[in-house]
Amino acid sequence: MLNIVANSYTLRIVILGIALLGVVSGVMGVFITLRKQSLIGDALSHAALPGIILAYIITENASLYVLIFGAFFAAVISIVLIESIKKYSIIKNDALLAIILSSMFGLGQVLLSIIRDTAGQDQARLKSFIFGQAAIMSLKDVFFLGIILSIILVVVLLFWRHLKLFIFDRSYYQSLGFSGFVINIIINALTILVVVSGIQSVGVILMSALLIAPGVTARLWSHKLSINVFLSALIGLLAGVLGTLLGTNISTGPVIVIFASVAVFVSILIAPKKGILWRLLNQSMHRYQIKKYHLLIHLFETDDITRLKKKEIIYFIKNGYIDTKDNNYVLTPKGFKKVFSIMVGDSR
Amino acid sequence: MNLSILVILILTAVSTSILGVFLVLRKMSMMVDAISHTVLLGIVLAFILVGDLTSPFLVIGATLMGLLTVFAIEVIVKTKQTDNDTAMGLVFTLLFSIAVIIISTSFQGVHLDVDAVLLGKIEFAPFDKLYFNGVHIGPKLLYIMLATTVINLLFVKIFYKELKIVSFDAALATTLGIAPALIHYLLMGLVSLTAVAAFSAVGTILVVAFMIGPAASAVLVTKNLKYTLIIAPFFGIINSIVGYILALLIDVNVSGMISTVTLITFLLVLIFDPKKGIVSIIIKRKSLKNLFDLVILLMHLDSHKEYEEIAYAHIKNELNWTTKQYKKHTEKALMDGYIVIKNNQLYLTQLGKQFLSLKLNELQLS
Repeated sequence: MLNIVANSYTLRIVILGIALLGVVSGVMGVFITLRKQSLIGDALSHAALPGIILAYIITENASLYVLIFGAFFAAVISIVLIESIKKYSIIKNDALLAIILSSMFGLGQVLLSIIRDTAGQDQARLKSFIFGQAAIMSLKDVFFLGIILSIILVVVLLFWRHLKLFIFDRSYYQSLGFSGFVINIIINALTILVVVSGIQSVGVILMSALLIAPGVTARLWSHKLSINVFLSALIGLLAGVLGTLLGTNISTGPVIVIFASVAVFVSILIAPKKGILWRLLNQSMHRYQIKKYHLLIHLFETDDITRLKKKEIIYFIKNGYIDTKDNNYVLTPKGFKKVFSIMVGDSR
Repeated sequence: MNLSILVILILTAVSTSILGVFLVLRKMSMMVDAISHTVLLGIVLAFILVGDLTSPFLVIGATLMGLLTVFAIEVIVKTKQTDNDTAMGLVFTLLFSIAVIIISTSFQGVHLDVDAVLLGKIEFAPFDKLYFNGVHIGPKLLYIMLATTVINLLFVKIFYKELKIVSFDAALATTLGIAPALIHYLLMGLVSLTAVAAFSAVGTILVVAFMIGPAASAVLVTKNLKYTLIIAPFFGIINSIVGYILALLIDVNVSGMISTVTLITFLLVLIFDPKKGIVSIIIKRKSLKNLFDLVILLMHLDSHKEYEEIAYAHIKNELNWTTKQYKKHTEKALMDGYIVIKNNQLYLTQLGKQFLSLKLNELQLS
């Protein structure tokens, strides 16, 4: 495998590009999942299609810059539509996303069918946006992705405190005198940037997965936002690189998504504190502790020792949980501590 | 113009939009997007088992996969580690990716074109003919859509009461002995079935517009569930007819055109609906604001004591209004006789006092 990478110039370029994309979508993914806007990426990537094709129709130029500009434009229109309709009507977010996603994609199909006879070779390139094709990435495209990555990282770092406060406590942020409107626009603009720069390689359908999976995974492993962003970027990078390496013969997008999904589902199972297995283990250990020390708890509650068996008394005394005092058994400080720790649900 | 294509489109519009109403009401619209993508995996897996692209088992496999998707999303949400949208985005992209990988690796020679699945090929529907006793009785898709439409209409007719209660008050449904989970899975099963049936006509992505667009427009127009269920298919039919005719006129993709028209009708309803449209909401908010300002002016004058400064220019400063705003409201109040100006001083009239107390009662400010 490494042999191929070392020998193939194209593959190195592609891997570099996908790695950059993985990092960017990982960083933005944390903010998007924290805002509970996971499906916005899905809607925006579908909605970008008519913009891409319209840009081609107007300029008759199929270079990445032109197409991405078109995609950006269409995505901005969609997000403005979604946000303003939400403000003025009873239609909920989900229905709006569904309508915009599907209808804009339909408009893209209409535009595609207009140019089906004239576009010739370019048509394949335009169609590649639907499923994504990492293999056609050139060095120029990678530069372009690098620039977008730097923009996003700089903006995120500059507005770090604003983003953090806005996402976790919006009303407090606004009460400090900052504009929620502006920061909202910044987050949306960055999201659109990531989505439109990724659809060429991952495709409109699977772009949303690359955006949410790393963010969710990171969230399961850490509570700290900075660590979250770092982890998420790392997972996005790994999924991208592994997916590209293994997906050279098949479509790259789906393989990347499978790697990212595996990261999520494995984390849901085994992540410390939040994972399913971890919680099951915790529960059973806690149950065992209650069983083992329930007479100690009984003593703590009632001062009644008649129910304690001799074997247990010996065990508790030996471990320093109870002590004899005035011919009676009392809990030692260590015993109290143990009972308290069991009561608050600590399993160790 | 091909009549059988139009009939297929109309049937698709009716069968999808009637289920869409319940999805919009239950805030589960994006579930269609998820299901319509994952049914592809169901078809692929069923095809591996039976090896025949025309087998009805494919539909069963796809429907089961749709239900599995709903179930998987619920399981993930129950772990409380993600919200509903995230779970949806994770599950459907994974299942869809698996389907695409299987198709691209092992189905090289098979005619299962992902492009056709995504976009639908309604234009070719008349060529897939159905023969009964050797007699050609029309395109196969026509009968598939007809059956789906009948099933969906019967479902809504039979379970109307249950669907209504479950959609608006799931807790009440449980106390009344209706199992919300059962109705939920029945509905989702039919959504999957309809998505499978419709995707040969319009494709997996555009089926979302067919299902949600007309339903959301209908919800805007009326508050009555029965009317919604009539208006939604009506919008769907209009979209289909207009979209099909436009597509023929400018020679473009039919299903794409219909979903574009769906967005346009939705936006038109949204903007111009007489009761809840954006135009009427803006007018309403504007007139309410004017009324508030007038009431504030009158209240202000009412609370002034005789000996206090009530000069025309002074009141403006006290209210901190712009000149234009102040002029507009004083002129209105003067015209209606709520205030009088004597020696450049503003006085509240008896009529103004009556109007003020009436409005304060109405607005429940007193």
